[in-house]
Amino acid sequence: MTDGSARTAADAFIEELFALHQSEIYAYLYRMVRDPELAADMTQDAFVKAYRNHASLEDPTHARAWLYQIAHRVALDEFRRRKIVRFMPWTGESHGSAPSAEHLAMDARLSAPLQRALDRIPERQRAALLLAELHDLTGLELAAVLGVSHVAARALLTRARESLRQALAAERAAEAEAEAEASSAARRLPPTGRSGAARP
Amino acid sequence: MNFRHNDPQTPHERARALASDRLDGPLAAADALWLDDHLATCDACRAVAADFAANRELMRALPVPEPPRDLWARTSVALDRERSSLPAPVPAARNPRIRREALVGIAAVLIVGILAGRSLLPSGGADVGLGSPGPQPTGGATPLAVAPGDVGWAAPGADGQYTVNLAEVDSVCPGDAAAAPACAPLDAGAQTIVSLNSRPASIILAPQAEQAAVVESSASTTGGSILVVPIDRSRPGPTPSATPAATRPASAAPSESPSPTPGTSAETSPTPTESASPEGSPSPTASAEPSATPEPTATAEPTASPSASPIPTGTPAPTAAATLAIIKDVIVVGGEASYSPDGEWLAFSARPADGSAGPDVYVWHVGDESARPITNDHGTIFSDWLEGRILASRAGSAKSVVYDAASPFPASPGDVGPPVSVILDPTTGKQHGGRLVNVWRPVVDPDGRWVVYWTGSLTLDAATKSWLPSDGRLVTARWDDVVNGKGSPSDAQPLGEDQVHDWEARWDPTGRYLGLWTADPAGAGLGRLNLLPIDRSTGRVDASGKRLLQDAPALAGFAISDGRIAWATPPGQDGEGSRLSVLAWKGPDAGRTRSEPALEDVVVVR
Repeated sequence: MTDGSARTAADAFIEELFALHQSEIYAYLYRMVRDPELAADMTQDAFVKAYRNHASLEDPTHARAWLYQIAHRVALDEFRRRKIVRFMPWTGESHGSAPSAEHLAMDARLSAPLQRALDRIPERQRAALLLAELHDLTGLELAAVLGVSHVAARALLTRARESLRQALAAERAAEAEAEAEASSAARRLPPTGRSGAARP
Repeated sequence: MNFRHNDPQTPHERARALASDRLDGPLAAADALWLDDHLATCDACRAVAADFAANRELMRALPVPEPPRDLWARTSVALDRERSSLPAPVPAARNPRIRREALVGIAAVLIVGILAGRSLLPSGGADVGLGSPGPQPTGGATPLAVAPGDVGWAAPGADGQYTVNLAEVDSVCPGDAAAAPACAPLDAGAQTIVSLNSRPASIILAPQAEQAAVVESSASTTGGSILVVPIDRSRPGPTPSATPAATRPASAAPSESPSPTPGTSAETSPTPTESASPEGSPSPTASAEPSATPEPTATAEPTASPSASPIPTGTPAPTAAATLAIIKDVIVVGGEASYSPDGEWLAFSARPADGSAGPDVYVWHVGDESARPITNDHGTIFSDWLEGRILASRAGSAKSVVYDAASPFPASPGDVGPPVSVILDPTTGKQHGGRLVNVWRPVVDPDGRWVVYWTGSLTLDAATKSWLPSDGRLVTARWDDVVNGKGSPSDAQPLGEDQVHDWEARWDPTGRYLGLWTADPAGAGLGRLNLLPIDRSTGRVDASGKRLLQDAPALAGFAISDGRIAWATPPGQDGEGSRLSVLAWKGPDAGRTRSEPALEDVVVVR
């Protein structure tokens, strides 16, 4: 095979891969980093890396898991950069830029206790949960993506479910407490009319 | 589920694991029956199982984010640039993401040149204007593409400082091309830089690479520390306000100080403190139970970062960047320190440097200020992790042996029984299951099917109050047989005919390869590294399998991951200095790459 034909085959391969999987890869990366622009950049990175390394895919039937593996590594790299370079708690925003309207709108939709609970659990556990629960990876695929044994992947998933359960309970408790405080504060406020009259 | 009934789990842990597994697929009939029976009588586990299922439904109700409409257009541009750049490095582009990556790649190459003066160079290394370009692409060999993965190593610079680097390897020279590996292009865009004042004994990278544990050399009588170091990637961060190191002119490379941001680096000079010695309260028995009031023997003293911070000059480094000495004045013994699979724990065994006691097993939980002992018999060493628990070994005894400073061992040789191994909980130190007799330093494969360990007799090193292997050999056996039989089964398979006294064994993630380093009789950290293909059905070395790596001269310490193994070659090979060597394989094909020779011994990041 000549260079030219090899590249053509690679082009076709990556275009097909993109058409089939871009939405789910973007969704996974968005759910990991919660930043639409960054997720788009990372999706782009993942497909460029897939193109660059397409020869390492031994079995085309495993292309989806292979692609998730690349995307997962891109996500881990991003987390490394955050932890290493910025040393800041992750707030869901990235690059220090103001969140876009799109970001805010999406965050508003996702800002339920569940999403906050997901944000609280370790990234590796979050990845395992997302891949298993939302992206329907099999146990073996999950193990391959995470780079661990099947047994370890199952154990990680169990820990992730435990962590989410506890984090969700904590979020719900905090939310209930906040609502109770708000309700209590509202009761303490004087009626609007008298409030105005009392001002000097 | 392939649940091993001998797993040291409580019924509730087992029930929750099975409840989790059942969400992902049907359980084996026996497991399903057991789980249903347990849930019928355990309200708490039933609630957990219900929560698992409910949370899954909640997650599935989350909105699905849609990719931006221009994603293909952006990706297509990036792919075009990738095509046009092959095989040369990716050039700068209009797309900020691409431009940043290109700069990062260049910066990383520069930084390697600046800091270490020794590196694994990409094939296009000369194109970026390095003063010392290193090996050039041969052009005669087609690189073998392999699954991308990081390799790490520490190499000394001219100033004697050790610099830790990470690099992604996604292709290697095909075949046994140790002599001409220059064709292997490496992605130098993931360099990690940490500077150390002296050669570390070992470096262990956390699973997510956000930190590394550095075991200081313990050659001195004061021993050394274990430092937890935030990984300091010298690729410019994504923060827009950052002044990227990539803007550093190439011409500055050969003469630059070994710090990408001079002024932000700090020396690592752990001060020995008397309080850091593991004094311990000697236990009258060799129990794995922690004492009621375990005396913390590790320091919690944060030290200045030994590394050059990638944070732009002028930006104060947050305190999180500080290196933490989790223990001081100890000598690490036994199996190599290791992070748990989930990265939440670091375990190791160490003895006080002053020789006042033998070794104990210590754990450090990420976020804690110091490590703490989970044994107090002063005679136990860490072997490896078994999923979330610790495999440890100690000398069995015919009767209780008291190990303490006032009444040090040896007890009479007749008191010494065979080696035993135990499974310990890292949180409580409690022993799970029984003792595994005639099993020393077991390392279980990732699927829990096969185990490699040493079996034989122990001898006491009076100077260090530590038990050392004497007459015996390395074997493999079925892990279930070891657990069921509470010890080494009679049909354990020897790994070789030679007696070994010092070794390191580690499985690759597939369990199909075993990396085995054995020390030369001359010692001094020199030995031979083999990559043994293991027949998964018999646990024996697969005689028909291709030996990808056989008796390679290697310094102690190697890293093995899926499809690659990295080791440090001793100085003097082909008249050259110590190098990092990497063997990567994909199916039956394999290839190599390596770093340039260093002035002193390099250290592999595990």
